Amino acid sequence: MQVKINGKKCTVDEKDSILEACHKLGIEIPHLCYHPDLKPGARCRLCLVKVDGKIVTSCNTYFKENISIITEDEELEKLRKLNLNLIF
Amino acid sequence: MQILTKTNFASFETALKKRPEEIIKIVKGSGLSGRGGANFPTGLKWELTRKQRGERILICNADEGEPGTFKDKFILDNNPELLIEGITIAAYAMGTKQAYLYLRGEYAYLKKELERIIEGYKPQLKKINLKIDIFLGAGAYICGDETAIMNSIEGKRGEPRAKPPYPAEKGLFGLPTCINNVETLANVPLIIHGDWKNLQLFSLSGNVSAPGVYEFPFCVQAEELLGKDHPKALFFGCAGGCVPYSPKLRLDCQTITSKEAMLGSGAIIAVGKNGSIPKVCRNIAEFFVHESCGYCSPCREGNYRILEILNKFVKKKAKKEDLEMLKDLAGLVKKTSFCGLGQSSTNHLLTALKYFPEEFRCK
Repeated sequence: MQVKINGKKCTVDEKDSILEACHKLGIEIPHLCYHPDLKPGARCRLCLVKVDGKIVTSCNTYFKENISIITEDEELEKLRKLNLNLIF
Repeated sequence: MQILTKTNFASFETALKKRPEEIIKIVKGSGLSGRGGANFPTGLKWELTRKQRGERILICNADEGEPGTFKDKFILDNNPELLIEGITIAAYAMGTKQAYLYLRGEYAYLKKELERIIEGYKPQLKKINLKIDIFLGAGAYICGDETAIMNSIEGKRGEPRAKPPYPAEKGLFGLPTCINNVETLANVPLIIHGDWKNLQLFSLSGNVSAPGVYEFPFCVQAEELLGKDHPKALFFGCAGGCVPYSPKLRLDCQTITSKEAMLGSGAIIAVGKNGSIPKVCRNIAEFFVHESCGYCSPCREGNYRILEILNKFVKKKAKKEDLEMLKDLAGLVKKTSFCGLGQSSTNHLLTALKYFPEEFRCK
């Protein structure tokens, strides 16, 4: 499937979640509660990304044709840091 | 009041003479939308559920938990037969053989009477092979959320589920499920009966001279509800946020949304001129700390820290950094919480900071 990640056109397996696909492409997204052997719980709220501007957790969100994903920006970094601070 | 009309199951008999698809068309055409707070078009929800293959389930959400909302209690106390009839017509329209009435734990006193009424209408229910079971909640606000209600009925912890999949696709026990609020279903027999007006039940409480349940069209102005009372602010329950009071304020979804608040299930809590907004917010934060299911970090931890800071404001010991942290946390919880409870748990604070910033004084 053809999608845009951080401005670049990429091909992804639609069976992968955004988190899994980015990992395969070498794009790092912080995560704590994700494990490949478990169904995504989406509870730590660290793996946040923007899909067409909307903030979602990448571990349990899947691709649709032609969507645009941002994995790194000022707002995402701030939200991730706050969530991490709240946990620890 | 329209909601107190006694139809004696006559609307059900009328509905039986029509095809289920026709009933859905009538409800769609009426413009009835969910009265639990989310306002989703009811006819459309029924249509989406009916489309699914396999056994379909109907859940009547009587877990009225929003502080300041008591309109469903009003219906259950004064016209429960209308609700049972509404459930039956909805079940007929969707081809459902099993319905659950999820009754708030605090309303357990109503269980016997509701069971007696359901037993009394057994002949009518038998005509469409419908079984209505009452399931008692146990005092958790989160179980008013439509996905948590399903987990609760399944015997699991009242934690919400991720959407998609939506309940109409995969709901209770994995089956296509429609969840409707008490007031929504109670309106259905009146729509079939004909001569129905789209009226909303408002629950008025707080610093007002005449608290209670009121029935008004959606475009009602605040002064029609509050009369000569002139409070400082109106809080729409705990999850809806607040707006400064103005007599000409229209109490409809679009107007309130444009002010960054949510009308929700029609709970209106008035805060008088001498009321302290930070104190009200502190009380609301306490509510959410207690009711957060704990599943995700921002809601569980964020609301806890928000309460800590609000206590500082109430004691007049807050510093400038505290105000900044309060704003950051409120935004974080709204943007990154897992479910609707978390996402709306800081609306009270975001609107209070927007409309009453002078009350949040720092050292």
